[in-house]
Amino acid sequence: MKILLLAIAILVLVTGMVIWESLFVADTTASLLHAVEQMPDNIPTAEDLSGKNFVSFHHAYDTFCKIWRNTRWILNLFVGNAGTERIEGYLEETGVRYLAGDIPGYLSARKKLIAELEKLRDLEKLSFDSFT
Amino acid sequence: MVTVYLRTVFIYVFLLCTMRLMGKRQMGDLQVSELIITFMLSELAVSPITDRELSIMNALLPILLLVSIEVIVSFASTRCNTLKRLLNGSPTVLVEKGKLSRKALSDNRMELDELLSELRQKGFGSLDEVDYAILEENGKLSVFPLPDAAPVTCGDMRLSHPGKGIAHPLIIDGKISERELNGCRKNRSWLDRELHKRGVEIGQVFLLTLDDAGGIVCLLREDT
Repeated sequence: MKILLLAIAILVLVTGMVIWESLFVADTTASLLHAVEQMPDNIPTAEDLSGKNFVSFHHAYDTFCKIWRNTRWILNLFVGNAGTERIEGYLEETGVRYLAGDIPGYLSARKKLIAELEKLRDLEKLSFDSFT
Repeated sequence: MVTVYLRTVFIYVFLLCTMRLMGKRQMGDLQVSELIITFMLSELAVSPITDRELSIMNALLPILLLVSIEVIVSFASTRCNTLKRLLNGSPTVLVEKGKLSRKALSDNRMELDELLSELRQKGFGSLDEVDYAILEENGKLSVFPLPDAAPVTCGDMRLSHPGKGIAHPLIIDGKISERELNGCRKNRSWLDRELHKRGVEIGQVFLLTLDDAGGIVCLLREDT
Protein backbone atom coordinates (compact mmCIF):
# COMPACT_ATOMS: atom_id res chain seq x y z
CA MET A 1 0.00 0.00 0.00
CA LYS A 2 2.87 2.35 0.86
CA ILE A 3 4.39 1.77 -2.57
CA LEU A 4 1.04 2.54 -4.22
CA LEU A 5 0.68 5.79 -2.30
CA LEU A 6 4.25 6.68 -3.19
CA ALA A 7 3.53 5.95 -6.86
CA ILE A 8 0.42 8.14 -6.79
CA ALA A 9 2.38 10.90 -5.09
CA ILE A 10 5.14 10.66 -7.72
CA LEU A 11 2.56 10.73 -10.52
CA VAL A 12 0.88 13.81 -9.11
CA LEU A 13 4.24 15.48 -8.51
CA VAL A 14 5.53 14.77 -12.02
CA THR A 15 2.27 15.93 -13.64
CA GLY A 16 2.30 19.08 -11.54
CA MET A 17 5.94 19.72 -12.36
CA VAL A 18 5.34 19.36 -16.09
CA ILE A 19 2.37 21.73 -16.04
CA TRP A 20 4.29 24.23 -13.92
CA GLU A 21 7.30 24.01 -16.23
CA SER A 22 5.13 24.62 -19.30
CA LEU A 23 3.57 27.70 -17.69
CA PHE A 24 6.94 28.91 -16.46
CA VAL A 25 8.55 28.66 -19.88
CA ALA A 26 5.56 30.37 -21.49
CA ASP A 27 5.71 33.20 -18.99
CA THR A 28 9.50 33.58 -19.16
CA THR A 29 9.67 33.55 -22.96
CA ALA A 30 6.81 36.07 -23.11
CA SER A 31 8.77 38.40 -20.82
CA LEU A 32 11.99 37.89 -22.79
CA LEU A 33 10.23 38.46 -26.11
CA HIS A 34 8.68 41.63 -24.76
CA ALA A 35 12.13 42.83 -23.74
CA VAL A 36 13.52 42.08 -27.22
CA GLU A 37 10.60 43.88 -28.86
CA GLN A 38 11.53 46.99 -26.84
CA MET A 39 14.89 47.08 -28.61
CA PRO A 40 14.96 49.76 -31.31
CA ASP A 41 14.46 48.85 -34.94
CA ASN A 42 17.52 50.74 -36.05
CA ILE A 43 20.86 51.99 -34.83
CA PRO A 44 21.39 55.72 -34.25
CA THR A 45 23.53 57.58 -36.73
CA ALA A 46 26.34 59.93 -35.77
CA GLU A 47 23.99 62.92 -36.13
CA ASP A 48 21.60 61.58 -33.54
CA LEU A 49 22.78 63.17 -30.35
CA SER A 50 19.67 62.66 -28.23
CA GLY A 51 20.79 59.24 -27.08
CA LYS A 52 17.18 58.05 -26.88
CA ASN A 53 17.83 55.12 -29.16
CA PHE A 54 20.79 53.97 -27.11
CA VAL A 55 18.92 54.39 -23.84
CA SER A 56 16.04 52.40 -25.21
CA PHE A 57 18.36 49.63 -26.34
CA HIS A 58 20.25 49.61 -23.07
CA HIS A 59 17.06 49.42 -21.06
CA ALA A 60 15.70 46.53 -23.14
CA TYR A 61 19.02 44.70 -23.03
CA ASP A 62 19.30 45.18 -19.29
CA THR A 63 15.73 43.95 -18.72
CA PHE A 64 16.45 40.89 -20.79
CA CYS A 65 19.61 40.11 -18.82
CA LYS A 66 17.86 40.51 -15.48
CA ILE A 67 15.10 38.08 -16.44
CA TRP A 68 17.65 35.73 -17.96
CA ARG A 69 19.88 35.68 -14.90
CA ASN A 70 16.99 34.58 -12.71
CA THR A 71 15.53 31.99 -15.04
CA ARG A 72 18.46 30.50 -16.93
CA TRP A 73 19.19 27.68 -14.51
CA ILE A 74 15.58 26.49 -14.51
CA LEU A 75 15.45 26.62 -18.30
CA ASN A 76 18.73 24.66 -18.41
CA LEU A 77 17.28 22.03 -16.13
CA PHE A 78 14.12 21.45 -18.10
CA VAL A 79 15.05 22.34 -21.65
CA GLY A 80 18.74 21.58 -21.82
CA ASN A 81 21.67 23.94 -22.24
CA ALA A 82 21.86 23.80 -26.04
CA GLY A 83 18.86 26.11 -26.45
CA THR A 84 19.90 28.47 -23.68
CA GLU A 85 23.42 28.75 -25.06
CA ARG A 86 22.05 29.70 -28.46
CA ILE A 87 19.86 32.38 -26.91
CA GLU A 88 22.81 33.79 -25.01
CA GLY A 89 24.86 33.73 -28.18
CA TYR A 90 22.26 35.64 -30.19
CA LEU A 91 21.77 38.15 -27.38
CA GLU A 92 25.48 38.81 -27.24
CA GLU A 93 25.62 39.17 -31.00
CA THR A 94 22.74 41.63 -30.91
CA GLY A 95 24.63 43.78 -28.42
CA VAL A 96 27.90 43.58 -30.29
CA ARG A 97 26.34 44.43 -33.66
CA TYR A 98 24.41 47.32 -32.16
CA LEU A 99 27.49 48.84 -30.62
CA ALA A 100 29.45 48.26 -33.81
CA GLY A 101 26.82 50.13 -35.80
CA ASP A 102 26.19 47.09 -38.03
CA ILE A 103 22.50 47.58 -38.84
CA PRO A 104 21.93 44.43 -40.98
CA GLY A 105 23.92 42.31 -38.48
CA TYR A 106 22.01 43.76 -35.54
CA LEU A 107 18.62 43.18 -37.14
CA SER A 108 19.58 39.66 -38.19
CA ALA A 109 20.84 38.79 -34.70
CA ARG A 110 17.71 40.23 -33.14
CA LYS A 111 15.53 38.23 -35.54
CA LYS A 112 17.41 35.03 -34.67
CA LEU A 113 17.01 35.77 -30.99
CA ILE A 114 13.25 36.22 -31.41
CA ALA A 115 13.04 33.00 -33.46
CA GLU A 116 14.95 31.05 -30.82
CA LEU A 117 12.74 32.34 -28.02
CA GLU A 118 9.60 31.52 -29.99
CA LYS A 119 10.98 28.04 -30.68
CA LEU A 120 11.56 27.53 -26.98
CA ARG A 121 8.09 28.76 -26.16
CA ASP A 122 6.43 26.52 -28.77
CA LEU A 123 8.44 23.48 -27.68
CA GLU A 124 7.09 23.59 -24.16
CA LYS A 125 3.58 24.64 -25.07
CA LEU A 126 0.74 22.25 -24.25
CA SER A 127 -0.82 21.99 -27.68
CA PHE A 128 -1.85 19.44 -30.26
CA ASP A 129 0.82 20.68 -32.66
CA SER A 130 3.64 20.18 -30.19
CA PHE A 131 2.21 16.74 -29.32
CA THR A 132 2.25 15.61 -32.94
CA MET B 1 33.13 13.83 -20.88
CA VAL B 2 32.67 14.74 -17.23
CA THR B 3 28.99 15.42 -17.95
CA VAL B 4 28.57 12.00 -19.56
CA TYR B 5 30.34 10.38 -16.61
CA LEU B 6 28.19 12.12 -14.02
CA ARG B 7 24.97 11.52 -15.94
CA THR B 8 25.78 7.81 -16.31
CA VAL B 9 26.35 7.36 -12.59
CA PHE B 10 23.33 9.43 -11.64
CA ILE B 11 20.99 7.66 -14.04
CA TYR B 12 22.32 4.26 -12.97
CA VAL B 13 21.60 5.00 -9.30
CA PHE B 14 18.26 6.54 -10.23
CA LEU B 15 17.25 3.46 -12.25
CA LEU B 16 18.30 1.16 -9.40
CA CYS B 17 15.96 2.99 -7.05
CA THR B 18 13.07 3.06 -9.50
CA MET B 19 13.44 -0.62 -10.38
CA ARG B 20 13.39 -1.46 -6.68
CA LEU B 21 10.21 0.51 -6.43
CA MET B 22 8.67 -1.65 -9.13
CA GLY B 23 9.45 -4.78 -7.20
CA LYS B 24 10.94 -8.23 -7.74
CA ARG B 25 8.71 -9.19 -10.66
CA GLN B 26 10.73 -6.96 -12.95
CA MET B 27 13.73 -9.16 -12.30
CA GLY B 28 11.93 -12.43 -12.87
CA ASP B 29 9.01 -13.30 -15.10
CA LEU B 30 7.74 -10.29 -16.95
CA GLN B 31 4.19 -9.51 -17.87
CA VAL B 32 3.47 -7.61 -21.08
CA SER B 33 3.18 -4.21 -19.44
CA GLU B 34 6.32 -4.83 -17.42
CA LEU B 35 8.24 -5.83 -20.54
CA ILE B 36 7.17 -2.63 -22.28
CA ILE B 37 8.18 -0.56 -19.28
CA THR B 38 11.59 -2.24 -19.16
CA PHE B 39 12.28 -1.50 -22.83
CA MET B 40 11.12 2.08 -22.52
CA LEU B 41 13.14 2.69 -19.39
CA SER B 42 16.33 1.50 -21.04
CA GLU B 43 15.78 3.79 -24.04
CA LEU B 44 14.91 6.78 -21.87
CA ALA B 45 17.84 6.26 -19.57
CA VAL B 46 20.39 6.12 -22.37
CA SER B 47 19.25 9.22 -24.32
CA PRO B 48 20.71 11.93 -22.07
CA ILE B 49 23.91 9.94 -21.60
CA THR B 50 24.62 9.79 -25.30
CA ASP B 51 23.14 13.19 -26.19
CA ARG B 52 24.58 15.92 -24.03
CA GLU B 53 22.29 18.55 -25.52
CA LEU B 54 19.30 16.85 -23.95
CA SER B 55 18.37 17.93 -20.49
CA ILE B 56 18.66 15.19 -17.87
CA MET B 57 15.08 15.92 -16.89
CA ASN B 58 14.14 14.52 -20.29
CA ALA B 59 15.00 11.12 -18.82
CA LEU B 60 14.14 11.54 -15.16
CA LEU B 61 10.59 12.82 -15.54
CA PRO B 62 9.46 10.19 -18.07
CA ILE B 63 11.11 7.42 -16.01
CA LEU B 64 9.33 8.55 -12.85
CA LEU B 65 6.10 8.88 -14.77
CA LEU B 66 6.38 5.38 -16.26
CA VAL B 67 7.27 3.76 -12.98
CA SER B 68 4.44 5.43 -11.08
CA ILE B 69 1.93 4.50 -13.81
CA GLU B 70 3.17 0.92 -13.81
CA VAL B 71 2.85 0.58 -10.04
CA ILE B 72 -0.64 2.08 -10.08
CA VAL B 73 -1.78 -0.07 -13.00
CA SER B 74 -0.34 -3.27 -11.53
CA PHE B 75 -1.98 -2.51 -8.20
CA ALA B 76 -5.29 -1.83 -9.95
CA SER B 77 -5.00 -5.08 -11.90
CA THR B 78 -4.67 -7.06 -8.64
CA ARG B 79 -7.99 -5.55 -7.58
CA CYS B 80 -9.79 -5.91 -10.90
CA ASN B 81 -9.73 -9.21 -12.79
CA THR B 82 -11.09 -7.65 -15.97
CA LEU B 83 -8.24 -5.18 -16.07
CA LYS B 84 -5.76 -7.93 -15.33
CA ARG B 85 -7.06 -10.04 -18.20
CA LEU B 86 -7.05 -7.02 -20.48
CA LEU B 87 -3.43 -6.16 -19.71
CA ASN B 88 -1.83 -9.55 -19.30
CA GLY B 89 -4.16 -12.03 -20.89
CA SER B 90 -4.87 -15.31 -19.20
CA PRO B 91 -3.22 -18.73 -19.16
CA THR B 92 -4.19 -21.08 -21.98
CA VAL B 93 -4.57 -24.80 -21.51
CA LEU B 94 -2.86 -26.51 -24.44
CA VAL B 95 -3.11 -30.05 -23.13
CA GLU B 96 -5.96 -31.03 -20.84
CA LYS B 97 -6.12 -34.48 -19.25
CA GLY B 98 -3.70 -35.76 -21.87
CA LYS B 99 -5.69 -34.36 -24.79
CA LEU B 100 -4.10 -31.73 -27.04
CA SER B 101 -6.22 -28.71 -27.99
CA ARG B 102 -5.41 -27.70 -31.58
CA LYS B 103 -7.60 -24.62 -31.30
CA ALA B 104 -5.64 -23.40 -28.28
CA LEU B 105 -2.40 -23.97 -30.20
CA SER B 106 -3.54 -22.02 -33.26
CA ASP B 107 -5.09 -19.23 -31.14
CA ASN B 108 -1.65 -18.70 -29.59
CA ARG B 109 0.11 -19.06 -32.95
CA MET B 110 2.10 -21.95 -31.61
CA GLU B 111 3.28 -24.77 -33.84
CA LEU B 112 3.18 -28.35 -32.71
CA ASP B 113 6.97 -28.57 -33.19
CA GLU B 114 7.37 -25.71 -30.78
CA LEU B 115 5.22 -27.40 -28.17
CA LEU B 116 7.12 -30.67 -28.50
CA SER B 117 10.40 -28.77 -28.19
CA GLU B 118 9.21 -27.07 -25.00
CA LEU B 119 8.09 -30.42 -23.60
CA ARG B 120 11.46 -31.99 -24.36
CA GLN B 121 13.18 -29.13 -22.57
CA LYS B 122 11.03 -29.90 -19.56
CA GLY B 123 12.08 -33.54 -19.69
CA PHE B 124 9.03 -34.99 -21.45
CA GLY B 125 9.90 -37.13 -24.46
CA SER B 126 6.34 -37.66 -25.60
CA LEU B 127 2.90 -36.04 -25.47
CA ASP B 128 1.39 -39.15 -23.90
CA GLU B 129 3.34 -38.44 -20.69
CA VAL B 130 1.62 -35.10 -20.24
CA ASP B 131 -1.50 -34.57 -18.17
CA TYR B 132 -1.68 -30.77 -18.42
CA ALA B 133 0.35 -28.26 -20.38
CA ILE B 134 -0.51 -24.64 -19.72
CA LEU B 135 0.84 -21.64 -21.59
CA GLU B 136 1.22 -18.98 -18.92
CA GLU B 137 0.67 -15.24 -19.35
CA ASN B 138 4.39 -14.59 -19.57
CA GLY B 139 4.83 -17.12 -22.37
CA LYS B 140 6.32 -19.88 -20.27
CA LEU B 141 4.97 -23.40 -20.44
CA SER B 142 3.92 -25.22 -17.28
CA VAL B 143 3.75 -29.00 -17.67
CA PHE B 144 2.23 -31.55 -15.31
CA PRO B 145 2.86 -35.24 -15.96
CA LEU B 146 0.35 -38.04 -16.00
CA PRO B 147 0.51 -40.10 -12.79
CA ASP B 148 2.13 -42.99 -14.68
CA ALA B 149 4.91 -40.73 -15.91
CA ALA B 150 5.42 -38.78 -12.69
CA PRO B 151 8.53 -39.44 -10.58
CA VAL B 152 7.93 -41.58 -7.53
CA THR B 153 7.62 -39.65 -4.28
CA CYS B 154 7.95 -40.70 -0.66
CA GLY B 155 4.18 -40.40 -0.41
CA ASP B 156 3.73 -42.98 -3.20
CA MET B 157 6.00 -45.40 -1.33
CA ARG B 158 4.29 -44.55 1.93
CA LEU B 159 7.59 -43.55 3.39
CA SER B 160 7.96 -40.72 5.81
CA HIS B 161 10.91 -38.47 5.31
CA PRO B 162 11.46 -35.49 7.55
CA GLY B 163 13.12 -33.57 4.78
CA LYS B 164 16.07 -31.30 5.13
CA GLY B 165 14.29 -28.09 4.27
CA ILE B 166 16.62 -25.45 2.97
CA ALA B 167 20.20 -24.75 3.91
CA HIS B 168 20.58 -21.47 5.77
CA PRO B 169 23.97 -19.83 5.21
CA LEU B 170 25.24 -18.83 8.64
CA ILE B 171 28.80 -17.96 7.64
CA ILE B 172 29.72 -16.68 4.20
CA ASP B 173 33.34 -15.99 3.40
CA GLY B 174 34.34 -15.63 7.02
CA LYS B 175 31.44 -13.34 7.96
CA ILE B 176 28.53 -14.34 10.17
CA SER B 177 25.01 -13.64 8.96
CA GLU B 178 23.25 -12.52 12.12
CA ARG B 179 19.94 -12.46 10.35
CA GLU B 180 20.18 -16.11 9.32
CA LEU B 181 21.49 -17.07 12.74
CA ASN B 182 18.50 -15.45 14.43
CA GLY B 183 16.20 -16.95 11.82
CA CYS B 184 17.46 -20.43 12.74
CA ARG B 185 16.97 -19.59 16.44
CA LYS B 186 20.63 -20.13 17.18
CA ASN B 187 23.09 -17.87 18.87
CA ARG B 188 26.74 -17.02 18.69
CA SER B 189 27.79 -19.37 21.48
CA TRP B 190 26.14 -22.31 19.69
CA LEU B 191 28.03 -21.36 16.53
CA ASP B 192 31.32 -21.10 18.40
CA ARG B 193 30.77 -24.56 19.89
CA GLU B 194 30.10 -26.07 16.47
CA LEU B 195 33.19 -24.44 15.03
CA HIS B 196 35.24 -25.62 17.99
CA LYS B 197 34.03 -29.20 17.42
CA ARG B 198 35.39 -28.97 13.89
CA GLY B 199 38.58 -27.31 15.01
CA VAL B 200 38.15 -24.22 12.88
CA GLU B 201 37.73 -20.50 13.43
CA ILE B 202 35.26 -18.17 11.81
CA GLY B 203 37.87 -16.57 9.60
CA GLN B 204 38.77 -19.97 8.09
CA VAL B 205 35.25 -20.79 6.98
CA PHE B 206 34.18 -20.15 3.39
CA LEU B 207 30.63 -21.41 3.84
CA LEU B 208 28.75 -22.89 6.77
CA THR B 209 25.11 -23.85 6.36
CA LEU B 210 22.52 -25.28 8.69
CA ASP B 211 19.48 -27.06 7.26
CA ASP B 212 16.08 -27.49 8.91
CA ALA B 213 16.97 -31.04 9.99
CA GLY B 214 19.99 -29.75 11.88
CA GLY B 215 22.57 -30.89 9.36
CA ILE B 216 25.67 -28.70 9.12
CA VAL B 217 27.85 -28.34 6.04
CA CYS B 218 31.14 -26.55 6.54
CA LEU B 219 33.46 -25.60 3.67
CA LEU B 220 36.82 -24.10 4.46
CA ARG B 221 38.66 -21.42 2.55
CA GLU B 222 41.26 -22.65 0.09
CA ASP B 223 44.06 -20.74 1.77
CA THR B 224 43.35 -22.45 5.12
